[in-house]
Amino acid sequence: MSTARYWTMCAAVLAAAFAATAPGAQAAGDPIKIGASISLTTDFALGGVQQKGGIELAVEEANAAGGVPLKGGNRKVEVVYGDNAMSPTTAINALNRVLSDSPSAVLLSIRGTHVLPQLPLLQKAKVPGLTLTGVMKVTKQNNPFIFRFFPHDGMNKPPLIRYVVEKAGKKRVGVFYSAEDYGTSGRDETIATLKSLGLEPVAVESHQPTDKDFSAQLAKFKDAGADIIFLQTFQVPSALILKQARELGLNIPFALSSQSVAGSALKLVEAADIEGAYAETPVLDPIFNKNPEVQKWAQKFEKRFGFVPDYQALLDYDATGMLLKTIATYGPEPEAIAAGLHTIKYEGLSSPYQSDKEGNMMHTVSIVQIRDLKQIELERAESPLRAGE
Amino acid sequence: MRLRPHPSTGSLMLQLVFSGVAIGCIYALIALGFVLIFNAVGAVNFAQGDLLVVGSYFGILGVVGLGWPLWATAILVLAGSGLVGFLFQAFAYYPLRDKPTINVVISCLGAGIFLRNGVQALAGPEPYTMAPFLETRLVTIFGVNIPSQSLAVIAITAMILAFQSWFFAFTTLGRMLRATANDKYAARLCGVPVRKMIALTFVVSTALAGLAGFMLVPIFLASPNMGSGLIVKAWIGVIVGGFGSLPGAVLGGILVGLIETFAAKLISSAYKDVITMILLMVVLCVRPQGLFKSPVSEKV
Amino acid sequence: MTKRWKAVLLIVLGMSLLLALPFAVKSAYHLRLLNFVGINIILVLGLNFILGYAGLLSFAQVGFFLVGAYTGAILAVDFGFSFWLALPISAAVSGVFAWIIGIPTLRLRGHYFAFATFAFAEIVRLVALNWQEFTHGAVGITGIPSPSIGSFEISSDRSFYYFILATVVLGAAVAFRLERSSFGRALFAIKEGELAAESMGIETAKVKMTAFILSAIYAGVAGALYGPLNSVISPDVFSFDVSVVVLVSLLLGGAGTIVGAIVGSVLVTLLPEWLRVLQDYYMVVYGAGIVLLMIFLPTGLLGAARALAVRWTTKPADAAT
Repeated sequence: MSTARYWTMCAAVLAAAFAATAPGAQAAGDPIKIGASISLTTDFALGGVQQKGGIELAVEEANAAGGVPLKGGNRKVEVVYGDNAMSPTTAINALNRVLSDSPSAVLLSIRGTHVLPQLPLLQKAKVPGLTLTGVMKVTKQNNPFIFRFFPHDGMNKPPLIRYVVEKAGKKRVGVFYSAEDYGTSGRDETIATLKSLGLEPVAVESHQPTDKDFSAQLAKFKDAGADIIFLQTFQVPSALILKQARELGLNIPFALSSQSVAGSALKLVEAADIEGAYAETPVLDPIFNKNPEVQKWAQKFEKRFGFVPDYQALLDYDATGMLLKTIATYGPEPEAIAAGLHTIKYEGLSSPYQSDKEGNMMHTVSIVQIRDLKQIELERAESPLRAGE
Repeated sequence: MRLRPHPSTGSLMLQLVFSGVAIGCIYALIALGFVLIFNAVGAVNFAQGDLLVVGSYFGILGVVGLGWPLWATAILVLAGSGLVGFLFQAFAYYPLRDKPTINVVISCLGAGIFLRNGVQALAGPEPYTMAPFLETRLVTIFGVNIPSQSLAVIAITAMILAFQSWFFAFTTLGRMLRATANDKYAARLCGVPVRKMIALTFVVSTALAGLAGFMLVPIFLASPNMGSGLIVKAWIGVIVGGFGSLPGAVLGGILVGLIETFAAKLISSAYKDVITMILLMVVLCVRPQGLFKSPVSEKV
Repeated sequence: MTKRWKAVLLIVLGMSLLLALPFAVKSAYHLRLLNFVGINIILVLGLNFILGYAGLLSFAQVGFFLVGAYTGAILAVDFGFSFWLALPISAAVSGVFAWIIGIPTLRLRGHYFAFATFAFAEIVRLVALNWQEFTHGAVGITGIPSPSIGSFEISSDRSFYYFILATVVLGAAVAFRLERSSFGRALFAIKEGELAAESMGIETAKVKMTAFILSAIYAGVAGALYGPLNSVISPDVFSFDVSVVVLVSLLLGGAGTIVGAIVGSVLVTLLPEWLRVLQDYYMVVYGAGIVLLMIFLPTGLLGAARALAVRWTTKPADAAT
C-alpha cells in the first residue's frame, strides 16, 4: 500500500521538477532572439558582467533605432541569458537552455574550458557562437560555427614578445602563468614564440588561481637572473603579484596580458607597482582610447550600468553590432548568419573585423606600456599567424 | 639549466622564510576561529572561509563605502560579523545540533554558498582593495622587506592566541564553554546555559573570522570567493597542528606556509599544492592527532 | 500475491515510462540534462556504499570520477582504444586508486577520513592540471570519440540516454543485490557501531575497503561516460562543487537507500536549472535551500515520504476513534 503510494509520490515530484525546467515557448512574430552563455555568478562574473553590459548596450541601441531592418519590416532584438557559473558542465546546460529558445546566434564566455565543450552543441544545432576567449585550441576544431572577437594567444603573444626582445632588448625571459586554461595557453604561445626567436625562457613558474603569496616564484625569477617576466593570469593574482614583486624589491619589469592592464585591474594596484610594464591588449580599454567616439560610448556605458567598461565590454559590443548587421544582411536564420559572418566585413567601434578561415575576426593587437596607471599605446601590430600555420 | 648564484641569495632565503611565516600566520588567524567552534561544539564549520569574506566586506563597507576611520570600521566588522555568526548558528547549526555530522557539514556548505553568492549579489563581482592600516608600508629588517600589514597580522594572531588560551583556561565563561564542548548534557545539569554558550561561541568565532577578513583586504584584495583557497590551507594547518589545539593550529598554519613556500622554491611551483596535500595525507595516516598535540583517545 | 503483482506492474510501468521519456522531451537541453542526471545517479549510487551504508563521509568521489574520465579519454584519444575496452579499464583504474588510498585512510575516523579523501581529490585534480604531457593540461582533452555498437554510433543525446539508463539500471540492480547480501548487512552493522560489528565477527577493514572500491568503480564508470557524452573534458569539470552536489544528492534523497540516491540526484541536478529564473539570485537561493533541506528533511525526501505515508495510512484509524 504505502510502497505504491510512495513510488507515485516520488514519480510525481520528479516529473514536476523536470517540467519546471522547461523554458518558455516562443510564438511566431516575436523579436529576434540572440543568446548569451556567459558567467554571471562566481569569480568569473568579473568578465561576465562586462560582456553583458556590452551586449545589452548594442541591443538597446538597435531597438531604440527601431530594431533590425529585415525584409518583412523591422524586428526588435531580445537577449536570452544562460549562466555558465564556474563549471564546464554548467556551461553545457546554460548553452543548451539558451539554444532551446532558438536564438539566431549565441555570444560565448571568455573561458576556453567553457567554450570547448560547447562547440559540438553549436555544430549540432547549426547556430553560430561568438566568443572572446584567447585559448587557441577553440578555433582549431574545424568548426564553422565558432567566431572569435579576440586575437588568440598565438596572435597576441608574438608582437609583444618581439617588442620586448627586439625593441626593449630583453633576453633573459621568465614565464609566469596561472594554472588554468588562460594562463597555460599564454605560457605555451610565449615559449613557442621565444623559440622562434632562438630564446629559451630562464624560468617557467606557475601559481594556482586561488594563491595569495607569490614570493617563492618571484624569488626563482630573481635567482634565474630574469630581466623580464611574462605574466598571464587573471586580475586578482596579477595585482597581488605586481604588489609583492615591488615589496620584495625585485626590480624586474613585467610583460603582461590584457587582463592585467584592463581599467578594472589597474584600480587594484598602485602606480609604482606596475609603472613601465609592457602588455598586449586586443584594443585599448575604452577609457584610455583617444578616439572621441569611443570616449562618448564609454560615458554612455557608465551612465547606463554604473560601472566603467573595459575592453571585454567593448569587444562584445562590437561582436553584437557585427551580429546584428549580419542579421540585417542575411536574415535571422542561424545557418545563414554563420555563412554571413564568414564573409562580411564590419567596421566596429574599436577595430575592423573580418573572419579568416578559422573564424578569427581580429588580426591586430595593441602593444602598450603602463605609465601612471594609464595604457600608452606603443604600437598597433598586425598579428600574422606564426610561420607554418 | 645551470644558473649563476645570485648575489643576494642569502637574504632572499631569509625573505622567503619570512613570507612563509607571514602567510602561515594568516592561515593560523583563520584557523583560530575555526578551532573555537570545533572545541565548543565538535563541528567542523565548512563555511568559515565565507564568514571571513563577510568580514572583509563589512570592512570595505566601512572604509571604502562610508569613509569611516579604521577603529570605527573595526567595530563595525566585529559587530556585523558577530551578528552574522549569531544568525548563522541560529539557522544553519543549532537546528541540526543533534543530527548526524554529515547533515551539519552539508548545512554549513549550503550556508557558505548562500553567503558567498549573497555578498556577490550585493557588492558585485569586482574585487576591492584598501590602503594598508599603517602609514609605513614596508619595514626593512636584516635586509628583508616586510610589509607592515603582515606584521600587523602576525601581532594580531599572537594576541588572539594569547587571549583565547587565557580565556579558556582562566575565566568562568571559558570554563563553561569547555564544559559545554565536553558534554552538553552534563554541562546543562551543572547549570551551564548551553544554548547561550553555543550561540556565544559562534558569535566570537565569526567576529574573529571577520576581523581576519578585514585585516587581509590590504594584503590580498577582497572578492566574494576569496575564502575558498585560504580556508583549505587553514584546514590543513589545523590538522597538521592537531585538531582542537590552539597552539597546534598556529604552529600548523606556519608550517603549511613554510612548506608551500619552500616547495615552490626548491621543488616545483606547479606541484607545491600537491606536496602540501601529500603532507596532509601523511600526517593524517601516520599521526592523526597532529604534530603538536599529545595523543588522546577520540570521543566515541 | 497481489502485492507482488503490484510491484511487477509498477516496475513495468516505470520502465516503459523511462523508455518513452526521450520521445516526450524534445529539446537537446532536456535530453542532456537527463544524461547528466544519469551520470550523477551513478556517482551517488557509488557514494551510497561508503557514506550511506558504511557512514564514512567521503569527498573522494569527484577524484574517482576524474580518474575514470581521464583514463577513458586518454585511452581513447591517445591510444585509440575502443570505448568498450576503455570503460572497464577506467572502472578498474578507479578501483585500484581506491584500494591504494584506502589502505592508509580507511582506518581514520570521521573528519579525518573526510579530509584525507578531500586531499586525494585535490591531488588528482592538480596532477591532471599540471601533467601536460600525459593529461593535456588545463585546456583539457577534446575530440573524445563516441562509443559505437557495430556501425551504430552512440552519439546523439537520445541514444546516450538509453545507454546511460541501462548503466543506471544495472548499477542500481547490483547495489540492490549487495544491499540485501551479507556484505550489505555488515556495512549497516559498521555504521551502527564499528566496535560492535567487530565483536560480531565482521572483518570491518575488509568490508569498508570493498565498499570504498565499489564507490570508486561506480565513479569510474560515471567518468568514462561523461567524456564521450560531452566529447571534451578538462580539470575544471572536477572541482569541489561536484563533491557538494553528490553529497547533497545523497542526503536529500535519503542516505543508505538506492531510491533515495536516485531521487536526490534528479532533484539536485535539476534544482539549479529550475532556479535559473531567479537570475542573479539563484545561487543564493540554492545555498539557502540546501540549509533548509538539511533542517526540515534531515532523513531526506525518502524519510519524509515514509513518515508521510505512515501518517496517511494511520490517520483514518485515528479519526475513527
